[in-house]
Amino acid sequence: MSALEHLSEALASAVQLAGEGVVRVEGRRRIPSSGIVWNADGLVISAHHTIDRRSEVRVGLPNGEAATAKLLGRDPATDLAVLRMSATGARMLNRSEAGQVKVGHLALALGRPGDAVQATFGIVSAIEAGWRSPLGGHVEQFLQSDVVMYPGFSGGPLIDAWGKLIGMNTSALVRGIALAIPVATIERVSQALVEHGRIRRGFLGVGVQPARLPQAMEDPSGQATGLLVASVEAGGPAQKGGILLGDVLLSLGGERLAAMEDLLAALGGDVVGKATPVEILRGGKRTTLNVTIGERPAPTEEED
Amino acid sequence: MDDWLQDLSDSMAELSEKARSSLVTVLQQGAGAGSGVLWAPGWVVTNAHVVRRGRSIVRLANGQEATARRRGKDLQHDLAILEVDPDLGTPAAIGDSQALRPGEWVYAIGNPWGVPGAMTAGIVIDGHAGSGGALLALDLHLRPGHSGGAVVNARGEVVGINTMMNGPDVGLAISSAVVRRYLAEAGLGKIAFRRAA
Repeated sequence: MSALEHLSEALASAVQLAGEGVVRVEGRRRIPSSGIVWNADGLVISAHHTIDRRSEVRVGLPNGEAATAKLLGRDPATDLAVLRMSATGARMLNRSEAGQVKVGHLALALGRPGDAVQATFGIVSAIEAGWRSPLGGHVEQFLQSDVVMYPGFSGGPLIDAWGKLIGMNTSALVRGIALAIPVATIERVSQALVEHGRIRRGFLGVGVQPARLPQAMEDPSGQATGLLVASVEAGGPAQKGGILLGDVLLSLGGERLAAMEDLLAALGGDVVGKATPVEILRGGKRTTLNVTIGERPAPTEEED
Repeated sequence: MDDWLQDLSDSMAELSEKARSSLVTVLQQGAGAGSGVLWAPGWVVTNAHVVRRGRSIVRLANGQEATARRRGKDLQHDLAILEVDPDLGTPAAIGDSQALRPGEWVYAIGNPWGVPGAMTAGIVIDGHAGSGGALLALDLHLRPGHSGGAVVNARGEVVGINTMMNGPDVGLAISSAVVRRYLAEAGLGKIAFRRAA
């Protein structure tokens, strides 16, 4: 066999191996999407945006059979959905360990929008530190590849050349790039979804924009900006806690608020329902209010 | 350089050279240049949309030209068969498209934008795409002039005929199994099922 035949065989074998853990997810009217068999109990991970509001979906197994899967929960902010199927006609994928994947490694995207597994090929384009999605979800790594996302590939795996799972592909979280949700995020979010059915996020009920602090008010620690309150939702947690239009938020629960990102990060699920100190600048003076943080309502779902 | 990487690169280059030896450019008056594959001694397979007239000129990679006569066409599968001088060029080895697996390495060869014999590489997305599974869906880019050229697997065997793009990123080709069936129906069974060289 030539070196090229070896390469070709290796890629096809990786697809075949991992394809045993890729199911078809019939969660919407349009073309079905894909799902990843996550454990031996029939847990399946798929892309939230490919599943309409419903409690049960049909899944297509690698052996050609179909099964019903119950929707256990979904997290729009990381585009993850967790299903449980009773059937056992599929096997779980081997997972790539943290730190194994490097920029430039060969990668394959798999999908099963029809009966057979399909694959596209490329490399890992970028790996960056943890990031926050536009809807405020924490993702452990920014993982981008240059694979082509064929219709129905969302919810399917990005695998390495040995067929190991790197992450779940989604084309919806950030438009125009092939993004993968890493294994670590799937582990954390799926566990919460199985336990609670949702990911709780804190909610303050304000519209803010970054604002430079007057020099005299700059923190000795170097905080030069705060978040200017441009709107306050009527009846929301901020209004109830006494936050007014024109206040500048400086910190929440001890977390410094210098940029919009900081507010999303400070409003994690752990602060929901808790009286939390919010430090503000009002009329040239620093004041601390106690605000009981609400829970962010589920975002209005986009059809995609 | 690591030996294995040199081997990989060399095997890719060898395969490319071999694939180019059975590629022809198909020229017709008043039409852009398409591609064709020397399928068997004296026979070229191409797309029906490449040869709208009965007569055309085929040109080999070495510049040699010959007259070709269309002996059959299948508009449903966009296939045509041309008869040429039996001593022309080196016929391709034909592979079994039914055995293709998703993930396998493939090349598309043709005359994209009029560049004779240009190669592009990718993998098989789906070996049984389209209605009836007659098409290969490929993770590579086909361009005008690729039409009628070959899809070649890692063993250098022709497994399909380039036909069109599906959207910006997916190339579609007619599988060699469908070409064989067509040739058999056209009464050319002997060349259809000639064993791969």
